[in-house]
Amino acid sequence: MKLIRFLFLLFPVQFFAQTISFVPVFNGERISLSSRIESNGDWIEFNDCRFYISHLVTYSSGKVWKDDEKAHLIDLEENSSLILTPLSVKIDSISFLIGIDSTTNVSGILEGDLDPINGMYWAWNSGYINFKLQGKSSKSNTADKSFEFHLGGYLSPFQTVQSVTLPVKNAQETIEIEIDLSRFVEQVDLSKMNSIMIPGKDAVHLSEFLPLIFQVK
Amino acid sequence: MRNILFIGLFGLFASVLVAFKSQLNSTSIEFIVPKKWPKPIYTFENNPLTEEGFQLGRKLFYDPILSRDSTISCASCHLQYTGFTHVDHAVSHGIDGRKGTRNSPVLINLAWNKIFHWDGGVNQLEVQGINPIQHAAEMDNTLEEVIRRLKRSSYYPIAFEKAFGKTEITTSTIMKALTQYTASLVSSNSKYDQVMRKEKGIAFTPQEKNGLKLFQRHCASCHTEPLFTNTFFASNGLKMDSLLKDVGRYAITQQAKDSMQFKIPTLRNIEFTFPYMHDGRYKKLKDVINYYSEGIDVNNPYLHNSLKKPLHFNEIEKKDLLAFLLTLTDKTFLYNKRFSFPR
Repeated sequence: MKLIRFLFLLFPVQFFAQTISFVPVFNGERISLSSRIESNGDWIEFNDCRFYISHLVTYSSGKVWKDDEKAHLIDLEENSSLILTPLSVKIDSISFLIGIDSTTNVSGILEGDLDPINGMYWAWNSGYINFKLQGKSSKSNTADKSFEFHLGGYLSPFQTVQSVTLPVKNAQETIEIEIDLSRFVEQVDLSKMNSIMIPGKDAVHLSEFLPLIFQVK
Repeated sequence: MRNILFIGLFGLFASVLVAFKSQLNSTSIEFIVPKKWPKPIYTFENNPLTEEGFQLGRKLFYDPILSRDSTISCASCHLQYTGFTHVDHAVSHGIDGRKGTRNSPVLINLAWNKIFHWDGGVNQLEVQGINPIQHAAEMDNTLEEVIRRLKRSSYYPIAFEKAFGKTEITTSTIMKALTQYTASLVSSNSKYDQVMRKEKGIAFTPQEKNGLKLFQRHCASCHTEPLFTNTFFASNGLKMDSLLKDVGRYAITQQAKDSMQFKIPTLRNIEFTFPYMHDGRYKKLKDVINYYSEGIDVNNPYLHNSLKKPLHFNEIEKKDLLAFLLTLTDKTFLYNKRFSFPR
């Protein structure tokens, strides 16, 4: 980040700062991640939502800009913004992968956002967790009402990485991408399924809903 | 503005200088591939092999600092004299005497392996080392704690700087150092190798020669020369242990075809790597030969095709086969001071 700011000072004309923020929402309403949401006598709260964004590309009037970074770890509680430096101002659409591609998954030890120390890596079944959502809900059939979904897996036939393309209607300095967690939660009957911690068909099934929860405001 | 530019240029200059200096500090080593061997899978591409990196990895390998209560090191379950496995332990014990569920694998010629663990859960050598550090039945530690301890030590920050050109200690540099050491554990100087290289005065006895023939006919499709493994997975028909309930590779792939399959281990230094099989159920090599000869349940649905016809070796053949397997012992590897506890 410091380097980008420094480059800005050196070459003020050539770069354009584009901030992309990821914002948690529930039923279209903005939420702070850990707040309790109640409806019809049930409640739900989230305490962790982290995911990888990779192969980010922006399209602006025919121009394609590709992000150099291998991947970005987004944490809806803390580091939920990216600053990109595409070459053009008006972005028409943005596309990215939710998760990590198979090549990166077999590339040995990696650094930064891909450091296994970030808690988004399975060591016993090497590979990245693409999307992690944890919390508690009145519906969850566990002693402490918790649920945890660690979605990942890159080996055929249980690939979980997802591709998303989002149109951007009103390009501004900050593009806000809303993540509607209600759309994910409504796909799961928490009384029956409250934990996925391994690659496999359940992880694939739930990952397929991930592109649907991302939307540019 | 000018100050920033100046600082920037200075920073650039300093980092070039540091990079240059670190290059001067570390001595690169060539990874030698034995003649006529296949190309290694691990090529040190993003982890150039250096003397400093190797020595750092060796130090880490023998240092109990990696385990939660500083009682066990990698070498606790991977002893050099026994081919880097845990001799006489069916399964190994980690901290607090906690037991694992599988026999500690040998660390021999790892650079020729694409995937690791009995179930193949680990997809690249560099990421293997995270497992024993984090596993509750092994070192039960965290990467954060390991890094904290290494940073505090008087030895490691300097050693990391010498090896990687920066004092910063990360998961990446720890794993890369360990990999430089473990990938260097090459065993290629057994009697078998010497005979194959046609070294002067070295020859198989008639018994060993016949053993090799039997081996090539009945065993080599899985335990393929010169690595003595084809590095794939198979079920050798062993019945599932009722307590361990280990389904093998299925646990990783969730695919029925992989049920009860385990990684085909190398047979190099097999004389010293007892007990045998993924759960260490056989103490003696002759037990293993007896199992393959007449112990296999040919109706086991998971059994690999190549084992469906019982081998029924006679007593002489069994002795010949055993004699051949003993020629895979490589004492220059088992007693190589370069691999031993750093003094």
